[in-house]
Amino acid sequence: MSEARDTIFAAIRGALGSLADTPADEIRREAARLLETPERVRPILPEGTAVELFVAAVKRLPPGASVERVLDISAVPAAVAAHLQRLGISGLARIQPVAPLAGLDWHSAGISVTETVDEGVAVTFVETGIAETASLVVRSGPASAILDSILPLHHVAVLPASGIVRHLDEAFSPADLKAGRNVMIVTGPSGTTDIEGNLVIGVHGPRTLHVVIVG
Amino acid sequence: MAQASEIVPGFDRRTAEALANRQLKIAIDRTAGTARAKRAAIVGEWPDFAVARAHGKAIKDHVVAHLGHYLAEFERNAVASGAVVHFARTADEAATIVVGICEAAGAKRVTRSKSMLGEEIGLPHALEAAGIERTETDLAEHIVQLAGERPSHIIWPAMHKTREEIHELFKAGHAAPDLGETPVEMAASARRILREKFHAADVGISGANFLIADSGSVAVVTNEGNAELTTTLPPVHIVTAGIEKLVPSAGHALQMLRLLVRSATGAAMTQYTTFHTGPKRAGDADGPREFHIVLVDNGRTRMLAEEGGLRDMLRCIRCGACMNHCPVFNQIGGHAYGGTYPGPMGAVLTPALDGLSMQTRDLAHACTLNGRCREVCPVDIPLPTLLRGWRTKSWREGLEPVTMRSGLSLWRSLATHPLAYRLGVAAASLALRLMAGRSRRIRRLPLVGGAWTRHRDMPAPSGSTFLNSAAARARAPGRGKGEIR
Repeated sequence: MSEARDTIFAAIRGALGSLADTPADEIRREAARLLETPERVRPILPEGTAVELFVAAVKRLPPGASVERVLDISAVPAAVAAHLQRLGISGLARIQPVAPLAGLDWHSAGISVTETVDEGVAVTFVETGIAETASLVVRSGPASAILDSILPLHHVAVLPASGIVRHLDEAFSPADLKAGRNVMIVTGPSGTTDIEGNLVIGVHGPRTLHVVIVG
Repeated sequence: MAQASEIVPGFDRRTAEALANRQLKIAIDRTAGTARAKRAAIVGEWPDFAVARAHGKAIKDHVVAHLGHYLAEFERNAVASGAVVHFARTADEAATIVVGICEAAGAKRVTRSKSMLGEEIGLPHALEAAGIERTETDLAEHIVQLAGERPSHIIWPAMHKTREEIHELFKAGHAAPDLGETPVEMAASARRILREKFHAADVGISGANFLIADSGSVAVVTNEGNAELTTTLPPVHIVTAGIEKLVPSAGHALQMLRLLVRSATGAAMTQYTTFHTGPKRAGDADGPREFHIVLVDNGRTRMLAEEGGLRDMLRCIRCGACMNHCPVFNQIGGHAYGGTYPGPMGAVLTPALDGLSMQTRDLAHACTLNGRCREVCPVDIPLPTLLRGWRTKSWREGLEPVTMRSGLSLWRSLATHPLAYRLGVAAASLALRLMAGRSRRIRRLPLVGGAWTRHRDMPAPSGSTFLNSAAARARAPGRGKGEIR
């Protein structure tokens, strides 16, 4: 191991004194205690089901975020087509090649499937949503590129109603983090306040984010 | 690319320059004013914010108390995920490691997503010195890079720029003479220019908001999405992070994030919050093939050794609330502080990182001790106390100027000789009243007092001295002896 590493660890030990001898078990117990009563340190959510709270939270996000609910996955292509029509753009979209989306009839809904994602439209599938913050939990994998949620100008995310949790801290576990390269929590479209504090939507990532809740 | 502009030497001169710049005051007011209002609104919606804040402080105190344990755990898990972990004792060592990784990858072009640690270790300069093209991708950092300047705020690096100034920079820097002057048009222009840079980059460099010990993950938050483009498109991703960014688990990180976002921008959540765990996995659709994490000390273990003092500063999560609420920062802006970190947290950190010297001793005096910074700090750092600590240290090390030293010596000898004190105060009070005359205002004071009356009048003393009033109250019926109300 490097000299720098040894120096830093020795400096920490020197600075902490006897604290540095705390048994690992004791440290782990203390860390767990700090998460024991999450209800005391979470923002209070209004009454309602997780889905209702999620919908209400999306509506509180800045412009560019929208949400709708369909009863069955087969209704998704028509919902996407209608959304694109509302945006006034053509029905050309990248469809993430994941099982729930790949088998749908996009053609009949008037959607032409493309591989191009840069500055275009991408439809992705997301397993988990968070009601507290109106967020989507995007996980990287062979069929789910992280860039599908960042490169397009318009992003449509398909989210099963059963995947919506109430609180931020319920969204994933340490095992989830180790299971893939990226876990990305996406909350509304891209934005900036870097010019005199003015909110501008769509600076590097998508300008619109539409969530289609299924079920 | 333009080099970072030269910093004007001397805090006094920088402050005088800043105060004379009317554009600067307009620019600061526009952004900091919005930031204060939005923070107040969202904190007001959470009745138990104080409980969450105390809890956040407890999490950070726990990590700091067991920093060695968590650093070792993080390293173990990060290495297991396929990351390459590097350690750097100093800023130079860290910058050398990053440049070395870029050179080993044959990199000609790098993209950076905003990281104050990158500024702290002098990365912009080190990359340029190595002949590597550096593109700042955060919109504000892009503005600062076009201007050839340094960030003036840790959340809004271009806070010191008005929209009119940014418009001029973009027209020239984007080769777009007809560019519209709305923030929407300007942001769209930056999007076009920077999108090409993202695709062309050989290496992407980011900072870290949290280092997750139990998974070896690095969490980065942005609102623009520039960090995701910086860290996903190029084949190499380098993270630079201070060792104080550790947290035990993602659960702890998310709790800290609730405090960070509310305190920084007044939102409930950042738009993009990404946990990076190692490089691209077999079969993954995207991601870098190499993932490097450079863990930086640069003075942090020295701060750790000061229990009851600078150790508390290791709790800082870099939200910027202290500077948004600081009356001094709001007058002079970030550049006047002269270091990487401005405002109250910067005035505490800069002498800790660069050493207390004639160049940094002034910072602790740029404080009215009003305490607002501590009130809004999401992890309750006693910033005014730490600033007073630097004042004491500066005095002990003989760094205070002669006028200050002789003035305080005179004061001390008066204060320890009651008769001399009473006579002196009575004489001074009489002299000031005579000087003020019937207007009861003094327009010009002699000697060091002139510094006060140069910008404002001094009111005449009201009459009785404090000690006389106190004695009179003690004699009054119904009051305890010596009790001062």
